[in-house]
Amino acid sequence: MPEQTDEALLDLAGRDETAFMTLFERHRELIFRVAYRLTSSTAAAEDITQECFLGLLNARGRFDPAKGSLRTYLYGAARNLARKYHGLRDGEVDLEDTEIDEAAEPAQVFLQQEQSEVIRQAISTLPLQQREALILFQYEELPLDEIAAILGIDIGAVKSRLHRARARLRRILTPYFEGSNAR
Amino acid sequence: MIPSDEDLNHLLKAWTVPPSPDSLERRLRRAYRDRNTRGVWRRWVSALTPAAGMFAGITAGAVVFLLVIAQAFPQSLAGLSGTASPFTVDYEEIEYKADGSSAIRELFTSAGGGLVLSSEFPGDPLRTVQQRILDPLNLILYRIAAPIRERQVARAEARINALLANHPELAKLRAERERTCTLPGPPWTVVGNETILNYATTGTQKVWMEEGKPVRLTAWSAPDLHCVALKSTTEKTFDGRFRLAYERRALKVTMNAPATKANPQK
Repeated sequence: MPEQTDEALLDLAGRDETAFMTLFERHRELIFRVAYRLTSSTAAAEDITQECFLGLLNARGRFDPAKGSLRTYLYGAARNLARKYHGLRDGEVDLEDTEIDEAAEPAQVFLQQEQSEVIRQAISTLPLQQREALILFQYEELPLDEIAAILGIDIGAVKSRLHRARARLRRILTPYFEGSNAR
Repeated sequence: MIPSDEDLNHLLKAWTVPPSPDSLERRLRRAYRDRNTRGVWRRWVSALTPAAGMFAGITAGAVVFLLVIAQAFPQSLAGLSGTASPFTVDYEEIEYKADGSSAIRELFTSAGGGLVLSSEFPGDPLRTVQQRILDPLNLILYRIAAPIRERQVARAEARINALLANHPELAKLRAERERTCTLPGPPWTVVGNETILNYATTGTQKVWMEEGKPVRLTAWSAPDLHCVALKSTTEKTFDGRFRLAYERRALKVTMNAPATKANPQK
């Protein structure tokens, strides 16, 4: 039997648990992954993943295949739920241009915790808008146009956010490349 | 040294994500079915009520039993922990009031400066009784979780070692940290050295904001005791000046394993 498309499964999902769970299995890891990276919390990522998929059942009218794939739609839903988790409303910006104390926390976990934790903390200091763009590009390896669609901005703005995110990460992570400034 | 694009990409790749838990599927299935069969949950509640009552009864009985045992033999349950820390530290924590008076808030013993084995709250017998139940339970849970914890620590250690192998400068910093119990860079600053209970310690200090006011923490950590703090003070701001609010100090260090590199108890 040929594999059913996401759209066909979505049509059945409201009344067919198997179709619903097939959709879930297809996309669960990527949605959980991006939710985890946006919130740094396993519990929040679980909640967001569940809400994304349950939301699909009510979203058949909102999801338009002509505007993008179901994957893009789910990424967008996960991103919106993560923004709610951070207490931001749609369209609201978070401290985009505010300087954050970049040196404090990552420096403290240096050598105490695994490198993954250092990177997580460094990325968590990024403003949410930059973090979203970086996670979708760097970790999800999405093309710029898909990121632009998910974030609701143009490609130029995506590039700008990526550039700023990487510049900021460079500054934050510079001490990890330096061995000479120890007391 | 500003990291190159390649270095940055390499570092960023190190951020791993745990796989989504199996429980997520069960949660989602349940939510899906609940959505389609609202009202069914009431039948479940009525079916589970007797079981919940039995569970509550057993729990209450266990708490009463532990309370009696803990009061009769306060030290007996600590042996259940199975913790094999190379040393234990007895601490007292003192609270300093604004009027200049002070009082011992807590006396406790910790394994390796971390896990609390037993604690007592002079002046608060109710809390002491409560802790005499909770401390052994905590130790039992700690023991149950030990294999998982040890596996995670081993995995983390392996990753750190791999990182250190690729970055000798980090290995150098780590060795320096183990030798001095200090980390490079703000917000910690080294404030001096002190010998406490015959152990050399390094004092480090950090200031942060709490409810809009600066709070200063100073900790004296002993390299020979895996950087456990043998003394720490918390100073809060009053009228623009720091005033000592809490002090935790070690009263006794007891060595449990001869293999440790620490000094013997004097």
